[in-house]
Amino acid sequence: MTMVGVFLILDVIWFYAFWELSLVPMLYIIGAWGGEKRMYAAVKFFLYTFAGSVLMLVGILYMGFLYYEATGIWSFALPDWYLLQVPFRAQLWLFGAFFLGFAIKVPMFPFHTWLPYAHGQAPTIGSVILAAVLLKMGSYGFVRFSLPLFPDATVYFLIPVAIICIIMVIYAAMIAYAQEDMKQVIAYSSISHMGIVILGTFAMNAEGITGSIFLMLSHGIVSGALFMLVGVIYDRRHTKMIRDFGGLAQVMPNFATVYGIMLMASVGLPLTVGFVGEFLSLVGFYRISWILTLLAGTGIILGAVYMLVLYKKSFFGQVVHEENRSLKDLNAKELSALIPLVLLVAILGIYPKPLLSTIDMSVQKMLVLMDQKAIEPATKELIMKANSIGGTH
Amino acid sequence: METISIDVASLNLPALLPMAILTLGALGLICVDLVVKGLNRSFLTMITILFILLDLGAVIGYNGPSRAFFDVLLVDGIALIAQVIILVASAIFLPLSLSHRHFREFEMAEFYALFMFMIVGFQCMVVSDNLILIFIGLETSSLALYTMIAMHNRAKAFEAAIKYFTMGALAAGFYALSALIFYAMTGSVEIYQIEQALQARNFEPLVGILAGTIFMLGALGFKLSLVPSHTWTPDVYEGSSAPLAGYMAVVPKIAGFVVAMRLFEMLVYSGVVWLEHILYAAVVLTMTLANITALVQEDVKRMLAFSSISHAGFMMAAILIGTTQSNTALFLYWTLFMFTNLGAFTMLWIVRHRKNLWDERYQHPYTKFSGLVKLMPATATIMGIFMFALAGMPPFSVFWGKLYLISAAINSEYIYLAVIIALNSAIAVYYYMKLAVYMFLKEPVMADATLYATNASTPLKVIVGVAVMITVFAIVFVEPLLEILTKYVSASGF
Repeated sequence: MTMVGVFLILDVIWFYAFWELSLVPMLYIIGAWGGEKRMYAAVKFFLYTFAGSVLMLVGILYMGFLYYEATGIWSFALPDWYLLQVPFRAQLWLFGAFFLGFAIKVPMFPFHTWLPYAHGQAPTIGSVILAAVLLKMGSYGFVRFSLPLFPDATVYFLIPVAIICIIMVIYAAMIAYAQEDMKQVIAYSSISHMGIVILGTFAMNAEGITGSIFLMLSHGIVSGALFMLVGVIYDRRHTKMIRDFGGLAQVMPNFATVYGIMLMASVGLPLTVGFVGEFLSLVGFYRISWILTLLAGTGIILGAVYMLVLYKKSFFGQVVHEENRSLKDLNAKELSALIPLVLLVAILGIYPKPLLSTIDMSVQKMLVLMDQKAIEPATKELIMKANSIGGTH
Repeated sequence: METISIDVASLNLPALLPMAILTLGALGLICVDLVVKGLNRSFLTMITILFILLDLGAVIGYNGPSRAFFDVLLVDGIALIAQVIILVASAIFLPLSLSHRHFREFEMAEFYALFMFMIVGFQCMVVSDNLILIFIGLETSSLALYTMIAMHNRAKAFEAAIKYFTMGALAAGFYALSALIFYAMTGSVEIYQIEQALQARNFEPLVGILAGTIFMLGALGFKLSLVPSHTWTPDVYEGSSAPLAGYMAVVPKIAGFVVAMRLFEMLVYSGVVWLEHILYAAVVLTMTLANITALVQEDVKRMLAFSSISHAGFMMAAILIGTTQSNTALFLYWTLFMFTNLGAFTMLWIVRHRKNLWDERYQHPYTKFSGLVKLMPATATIMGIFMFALAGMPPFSVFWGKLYLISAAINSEYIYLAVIIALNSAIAVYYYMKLAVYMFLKEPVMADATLYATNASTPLKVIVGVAVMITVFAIVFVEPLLEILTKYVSASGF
């Protein structure tokens, strides 16, 4: 998998190379094995993400040039870049260039339109990879590049980005409610959740960033599992439309149980893995602005609404369609894939500390670095403010 | 009358040796053809390659002073690199004549003689800063090339040759006019003396320089297919055989770039701002318009033609920037592009079918490649690699050239230019990917694998193999190549 390279390598040019290379297999997965409009979806996905990242490449090269100007040495190693204080105006432009690359990948409003198509047309495995790995490449990019490299620009653009996040959270949740296709519901819920991830990232404090990283992970598990579950039912019925189901709980009790657990985790029920990240992200951002956090919080409520409606319509009530009566429950192969995920959801939901403390350590270091690098007094002030009140870390 | 006495040593004849080898080779070949009838095409190809390699040896082995032959020749670093690129490209494009099916032009010794004359012409263009010798080189190579296109002996080939010839004649006229104007203003045809003279008179009169530059841009723009003198490119590519079309996309242009580098850098550095603006406009238009036109092409060869215009636009951007790094980027880009382009056109040559089965008008419509992966997975994959490489997908060859070029633009504070280059790469992805989409994601139109690869032969497969290797593993030798190129480019003061 070429996607592995994006997270391991600090040499930024290689980061870019793998970043782009990861598009090719996805193009093929969606385009060759997808649904009816697979080609349109695959090409749209490819062009969108490619266009975003070429501008990021210009940003990367400009960053290399700035490093050269400051030190007289060429370097594309991220640890070197971390030490560089980028002039404020340059930060704004560079932040913009990187933002485009990452925002399209996440995908942030208004660049999100490729995602429903890609998810809608992709085969199960494609959707799982898209939701669990590919979307996180964007949010990872924010944490790895945008924040530590351009702290002042991050603070400068904080409120606009947060507003985009809130639009994502609420708008995507509303669209998700209106969907008739199970997979589209989950696809739009992904956008909604990614809104909270980015919001947490821009909280500029340990809780928010740690929470958002944790949420990336948990959303990967949960939405991956949900797409797998949709794949399970699609295998049996060759349809993903909610109206074709109903009363599935009677026919497939195990399936309904696993689905229910994953759904609850997605909604952010306490003691599931989804709660930890979402809660921390929102708590983190509360220090920046309580009103925006409140708005983002409605996303959880809306999430409960569309997810529970989905669950009600497809699992409860009487079996309306005769074809559904003879459906087989999960078999051993499917269970062996899903049970580990269910266990993860429960264990990390109840005891997330080992993971959180590991993430927290690196986040603390990053925040210290950001504080040291900040040029504008406003940035220092905000980092101070975001990290002080009632901080227990 | 004064007696003219010339010291033979001062002529520095070894500098002429590379061109002499090929000229003698070509003449010898014609003489042999008079006596011996029916020379085998493998023999002709191999003997020509042998002469090209001898020429290459003479080029690399030369270590005399850079000025020679009444100061007409200028053997500097960029002349050396450009000659090596020209000769290597010629030596690897020529074996494409050894295809499975026999074509009339490749059976004739004249073709090979013309090929060698053409190379001599290109070499004359790059090893001189004398406007007259450049002109002679330009015309020698062009006339040989027109004839070779026509020798393909199809109606479209004649059309292409005549179209190329007519437009080329106009361009030659422009060139002569431009040279005349510069001579009138400065009393010299040597670029470095023109530069000194122009500086001495402080780049006055402006109208004269404007006229000279515009005519020169028209003349070289024709050779380099810059917008707006690019219109011949797709038709000529379509009419020529794939090997020649691929050759035309690489070699005449590198010769043109070197001339443009010598001329325009002097003009850009003159400090007259509008000169830079004219060039800037030409660069941006070339990249963008060609890219947009390529989007709507239905034929792969025409698409490659428009894309090669756009690549030429990138290269002119390097000349516009005019730093050592950007000039190095030009050569790096073009070396990498050469191999990938070679691969792509060889693939077209391999899948050439006698009849236009897929489309009445076009020989290589996109539909021809529909579902190729189901019929011939290896062919489709290789073609896909070339397409993604041309699109600038990392880590394939052209990406590294593009990377270095954009970085050169940024380092000279041409940020907007860098962004325009990047955006154009994003546009370009669409039409390259279109072919990949057709090959990998669509169903075959005619599910008959025997329709493809009718022209494949072992030499062609070897060439494709070499091109794939170099395209995929470009990263391994980009670094050393860059070092060599930087050394020579900076040594010649560009």
